[in-house]
Amino acid sequence: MGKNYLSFSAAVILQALDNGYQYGFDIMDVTGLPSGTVYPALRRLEEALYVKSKWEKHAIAQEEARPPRKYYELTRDGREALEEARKRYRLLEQAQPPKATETKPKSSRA
Amino acid sequence: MRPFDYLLRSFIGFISLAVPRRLRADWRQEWEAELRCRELMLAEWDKLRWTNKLELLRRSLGAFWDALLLQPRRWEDEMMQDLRYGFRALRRRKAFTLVAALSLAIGIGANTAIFSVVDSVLLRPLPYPGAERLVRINAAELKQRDQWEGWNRVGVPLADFRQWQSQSRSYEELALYTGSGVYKTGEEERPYLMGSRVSLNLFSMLGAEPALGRTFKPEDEKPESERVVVLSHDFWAERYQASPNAVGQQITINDQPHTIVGVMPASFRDYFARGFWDNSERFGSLQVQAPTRTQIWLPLSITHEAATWHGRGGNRHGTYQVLARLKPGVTPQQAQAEISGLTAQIAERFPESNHDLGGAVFNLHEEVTGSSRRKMLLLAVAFSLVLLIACANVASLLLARGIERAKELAIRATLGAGHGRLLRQLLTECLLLAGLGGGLGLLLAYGMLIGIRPLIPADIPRADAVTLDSRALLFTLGLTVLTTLLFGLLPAWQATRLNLTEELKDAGRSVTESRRSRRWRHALVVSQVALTMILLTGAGLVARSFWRVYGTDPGYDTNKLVRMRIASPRAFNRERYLRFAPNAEDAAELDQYWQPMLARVRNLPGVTDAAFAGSYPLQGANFSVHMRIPGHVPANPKLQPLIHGDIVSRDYFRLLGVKLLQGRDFNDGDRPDAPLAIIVNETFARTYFPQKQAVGQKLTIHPGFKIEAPATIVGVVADVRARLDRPVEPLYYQTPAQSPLRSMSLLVRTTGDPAALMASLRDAVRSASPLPSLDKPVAVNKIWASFTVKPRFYLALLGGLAALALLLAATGIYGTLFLAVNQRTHEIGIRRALGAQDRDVLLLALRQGVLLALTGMGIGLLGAWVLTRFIRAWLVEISPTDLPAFAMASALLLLVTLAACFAPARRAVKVDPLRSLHHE
Repeated sequence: MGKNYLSFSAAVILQALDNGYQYGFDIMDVTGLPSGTVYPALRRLEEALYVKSKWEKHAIAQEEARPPRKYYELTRDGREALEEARKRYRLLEQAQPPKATETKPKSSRA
Repeated sequence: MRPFDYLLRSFIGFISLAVPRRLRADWRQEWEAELRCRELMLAEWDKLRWTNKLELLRRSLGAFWDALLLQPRRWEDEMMQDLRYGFRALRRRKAFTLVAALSLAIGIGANTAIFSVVDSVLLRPLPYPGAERLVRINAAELKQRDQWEGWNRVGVPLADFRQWQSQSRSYEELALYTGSGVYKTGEEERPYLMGSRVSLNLFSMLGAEPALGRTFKPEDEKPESERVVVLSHDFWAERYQASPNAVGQQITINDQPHTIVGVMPASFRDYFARGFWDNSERFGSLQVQAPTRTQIWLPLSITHEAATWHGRGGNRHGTYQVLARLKPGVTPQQAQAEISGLTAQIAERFPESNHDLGGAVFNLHEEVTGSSRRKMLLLAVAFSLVLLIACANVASLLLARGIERAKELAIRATLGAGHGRLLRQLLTECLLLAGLGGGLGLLLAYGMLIGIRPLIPADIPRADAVTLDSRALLFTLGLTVLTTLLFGLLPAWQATRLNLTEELKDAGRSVTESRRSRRWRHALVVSQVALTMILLTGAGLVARSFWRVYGTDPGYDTNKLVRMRIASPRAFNRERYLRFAPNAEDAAELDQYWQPMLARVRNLPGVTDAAFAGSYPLQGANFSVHMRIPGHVPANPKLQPLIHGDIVSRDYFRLLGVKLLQGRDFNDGDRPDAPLAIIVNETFARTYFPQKQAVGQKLTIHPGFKIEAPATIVGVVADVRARLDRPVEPLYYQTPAQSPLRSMSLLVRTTGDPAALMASLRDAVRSASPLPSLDKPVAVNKIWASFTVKPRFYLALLGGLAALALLLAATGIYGTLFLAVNQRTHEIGIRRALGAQDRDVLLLALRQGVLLALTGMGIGLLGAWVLTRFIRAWLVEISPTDLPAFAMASALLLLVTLAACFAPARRAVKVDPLRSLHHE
């Protein structure tokens, strides 16, 4: 993935990550993009080193009786790419979802 | 577990099958955790209604796309698998891997090394900013074309240069310089410096800045101003220990104090100073002592010479070289057209001095590299032949291995591996092999360069810049991939064309080879032998030429001969040269300076004989004059033949052991007032008097324009080689008593080791002469050896290459025959059981190998016959189809291939019939 070819959806996803939405499903929620778009995009972003992924701590997962979730973070390159994209896609500012204020997401249809 | 949860999990589990195995576990966990988390959350908020369940299900469908888009990773996965497998396969077959990798290493290594040389000598631009626009302009004799270069180039007369400068529109700037020459210092340690006189703007035109101090400024040109000099970095570092205080110090050059005003950086080299008038040849005999690089630059003071306008008398040619920078967008062709027009105009205005005198424009890069270009490219071709041989070697090894692996591949194919997959697997193995070979080759190249660098003759331009750099690494990488395709594609393609039922049905030893594969392998061996034949013949020709030139008699005895150049006490100038006959001062100089010195040297203990010569045999001509020879009609009636001449004292021929063939030697009667007596060499007599007796013939010498000196041939002597690598040219001699004198070489024959005599010789000369000698005494044998440096270099390279090729070809034949014997063990067993003798079996095995070798040699001889004409440049006095060279190469190749065939054939003889039949 070339540095200058960030698609709009990829930029929106980076934006969401920047705003603190770290899990795939949360990103779907705030961006409204379907899962078939978000996940492949995340993988490509990860390959381009704009994003890195980590596994959630086991303790947290155990408490909630589910496997550990994978969460994503922006890298410095990713942040730069986002800055770049913000200049190109002026609508990105408007597409900005509210900052994540709580770690738990709202329900998808709430 | 609730049914909905179970549904989601199994759905994800099902899709995960499509995910490449390496990523599967992670992928599955990520999706499961995400779905489960969402589900738990909804349940906690008590919102797990069917609409939300449906929404979750819809989302999990996205996993399908996710999995699908991960498919390209599958390739990487398989690639890793292939690599691991290939690595194991190579490790299992250590001998095969070793031979194959070494073959490739030799091929790749040799080619990387030669690439580095070719790259730094030929391909890289000259280290001047905007070097592509730099050109050299020469004056050229239009009516005489040089057989080597097409142009007969001469130095540029200043007057013409001024015209070019004022009237041409093609150049940003034009600069003048003299080719580098020898300057005296008077210092005991370094009597000579290599120097060049340059116009003020030369440095700035080249974009070169001094490392220290300044370059030249307009005042430096004026004859009355202080004399200044700019030093090269190397000379500064050596003579002044790189001290910054050197600037401002005085140095004596040609008996004049000069002030050092600047030092050029180490990166600055005047590559253009060489080339056209090659110094190593012009100053041939100085080569041993004089440095080959320019050490000092002096300003060209041209103001006083500006007076010489086009009425310049006999001085048709100038002494300058012109360097110019083309304006952007102007091509050398346009510049050439312009200069041709300009010179035609000048010739029209000044027909006396300029008739048929043109101008020639040359791209500087081609100029500098020109002389080596052809040889370098030929070397590169020769090296790539070795790579081809190495590839053929590995390919035939791989073909042989393909047979062994047929069963393994068949099993894999049965288990579902596609044709493409198997091909990829085999090519991956080849790539591994090539990578191994390339890595080893790089090490080899590094070693080779260390070995080659000191051998590179100094007059190959930019030889010192040869390194293994990133470009060479890139080249190696490319070569590795290329060789993989070259040697890998055919065997892999062959191996994967499987007949599954055949392969699997055959329960026993499956070592039978398909006819097609065998034919391919035989073709490879034949081509290997053919290529080797070509290389061997080429090397043989060069070797023959080398021996012919350097192994034969130069025409005189170099043993225990010492030479020392001695300056004339009076300056040699144009007047003396054009007068051509000695005057009273010359006679006095001879009697009071040269003769006493000769007498003193002769009386030294350990000296048997001594003589003077203006030149020295290995140095080439001392001077050249036009001659009108009765009975000889030149091709161009305006231009009489140009004959080289030399001034030698009476004992010269006796001292060198040059035979007098006809007539007499010089004697006391050849006095200044007597008619000019000359002795000519055999080639002269043969060329100009083929039918007549040369002795007694009268001819006219034209030392300058419209100046005549009648002369009589009094003797004919045997030929002496002036230039070792060129045929002997017509040459004539005259005595000092009948010539204007100039610097001379003192030649001394010693009884013992010449080295022991050097000091006393120097003292004797010094006591007889008020002047410093021009150089230290040198043993002629040493000079002789220095002349063989270049041909020895090419010979060593080609010889080494041919040896490598021979080795590779022998390995190829050995391997092929070995395999053939292995495959025929059963057959041989039966033959033995039926009563075949050792001899029969031996012949059976040998026949195949010899047949292959002979076929290859036949093709190779044909190829060599066609191709060796391209190495004509290396061959002196030998035709490119020289029979002995061809015969020698064939004999050697036949011998080596026979030896390679013999070992496997012996193995065939040792086959035990009982065991081989038992095996079945």
